[in-house]
Amino acid sequence: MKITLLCALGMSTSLLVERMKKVANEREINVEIEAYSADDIDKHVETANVILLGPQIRYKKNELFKKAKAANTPIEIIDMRAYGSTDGEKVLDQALDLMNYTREE
Amino acid sequence: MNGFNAFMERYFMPVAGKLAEQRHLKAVRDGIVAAMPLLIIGSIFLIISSPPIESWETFMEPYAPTLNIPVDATFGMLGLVAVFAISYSLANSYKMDGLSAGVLALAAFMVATPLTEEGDIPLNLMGAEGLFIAIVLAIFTVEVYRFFENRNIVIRMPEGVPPSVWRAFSALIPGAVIIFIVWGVDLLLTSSFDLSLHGIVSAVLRQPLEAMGGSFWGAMIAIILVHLLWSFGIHGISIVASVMAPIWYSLTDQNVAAQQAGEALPHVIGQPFMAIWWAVGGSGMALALTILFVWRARSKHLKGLGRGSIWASFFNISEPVIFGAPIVMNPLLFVPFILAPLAVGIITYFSMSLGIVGKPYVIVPWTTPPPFSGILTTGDWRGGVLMMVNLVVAMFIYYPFFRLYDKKLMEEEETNEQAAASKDV
Repeated sequence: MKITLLCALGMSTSLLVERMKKVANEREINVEIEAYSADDIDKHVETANVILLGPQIRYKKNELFKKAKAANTPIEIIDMRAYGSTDGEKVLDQALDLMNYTREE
Repeated sequence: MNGFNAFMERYFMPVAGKLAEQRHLKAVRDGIVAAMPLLIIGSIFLIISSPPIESWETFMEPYAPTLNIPVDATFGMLGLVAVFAISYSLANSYKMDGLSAGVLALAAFMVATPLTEEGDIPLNLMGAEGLFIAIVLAIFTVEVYRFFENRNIVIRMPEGVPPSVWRAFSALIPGAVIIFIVWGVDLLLTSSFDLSLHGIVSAVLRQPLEAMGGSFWGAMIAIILVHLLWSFGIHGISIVASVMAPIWYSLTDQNVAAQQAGEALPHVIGQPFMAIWWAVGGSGMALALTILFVWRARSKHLKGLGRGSIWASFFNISEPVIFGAPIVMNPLLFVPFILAPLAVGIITYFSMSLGIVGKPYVIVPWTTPPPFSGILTTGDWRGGVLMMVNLVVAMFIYYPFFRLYDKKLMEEEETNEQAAASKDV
């Protein structure tokens, strides 16, 4: 299972990645979490099980959502508050929910 | 407030999105980013070979020509690298062969470059002076190439021929046409009007854009725009830079050339001014606000946020504070968020143009923490002092707004606690 976070350069989301990994460890969930620049979406859209976007690049939503949908990878924008407070737990839940949701469909 | 937000979401966001997704602008940005490591490496040699301290400079003088070799080969090749990298990115975005496009654009660029009287390649036109024609020719090459591919006017190889072989053949016809057009146009300009493609692009594109982008007002408008965008939660600098980056790099390269030649630096505005100087702690001089959070906040939320994000802020990453405080859609904080960098921009601009502090000519990674970034970009210890002064000024501007917001949060926290306590009873 692989969660990919994308933001402008993959810098600020990488802070979040560390928090999410910690929570995943505590809960003993086997998950790979990584952060990249949104410009590299083409490289990650196929391998990721779920993609989350930093809220600051939501102006690129159309382009990025289109690419993710084409690859059948669920995608969502990270909740702004959770992003700001680098709430790893909340964002991890968001990713897990998003995956379950699409699995049920 | 909500009405305004809705207005921005509805009308502004699509425009910002289009601008950021715009294929050609994106290719230009990617092309310049590809040259970034070279610019930083070149900068290191530049500080050593042409230091701003006079005694050191005299000492280094005999070694300068040798030390300038890596500077010329990195910083000085910005245009040459950009023409390849931009056409490569643009072709890839069309799912065309980037390598062929890059090679063709490189040749087109050389065709358009007038040689010196001795028949040598002029180094000055390979750098930022050639950056704008590099952009024009990279886009031209890929678009012509695409025109031929779309109409299937290429030499096709039978199946079973290795890709590197058919690639070379498929680029043959469009490549010949591209080179022929650029050569023909340049020849016509030179023989009939005594002009060159370099000269024309410089006159109609480069000089007016640089005059605009390099001016005080141009910089102030850019700063306001970046922070207005951030106030709505949009990555401001990446949008503004997608249009302005070539101009800022070109201005900086002129400073580099002047520093190498031992002349006075012509520009204050440029890449370091835009990436480092008014963005201490990230956009909005956010380090000033983060320090206030750690030092002065009484609400749990801001204190916690400050402690959690101070290190990121020290390395100029401001997203945690921008979204966590939040500054986004929060007039109590986004007013100083715009005012603080504006004030810092004005102070910095005048300190540099009046010669109190050296002008920036060195490119450092934008994550370089203050005050080192200030010292390194200008090569002047006073740059570090100015950066600290700027930080204090920003703290003063943030302070009253911060106090109001902190008080408001504290009251909310108290009400929540009381409510929780009364429930327990």
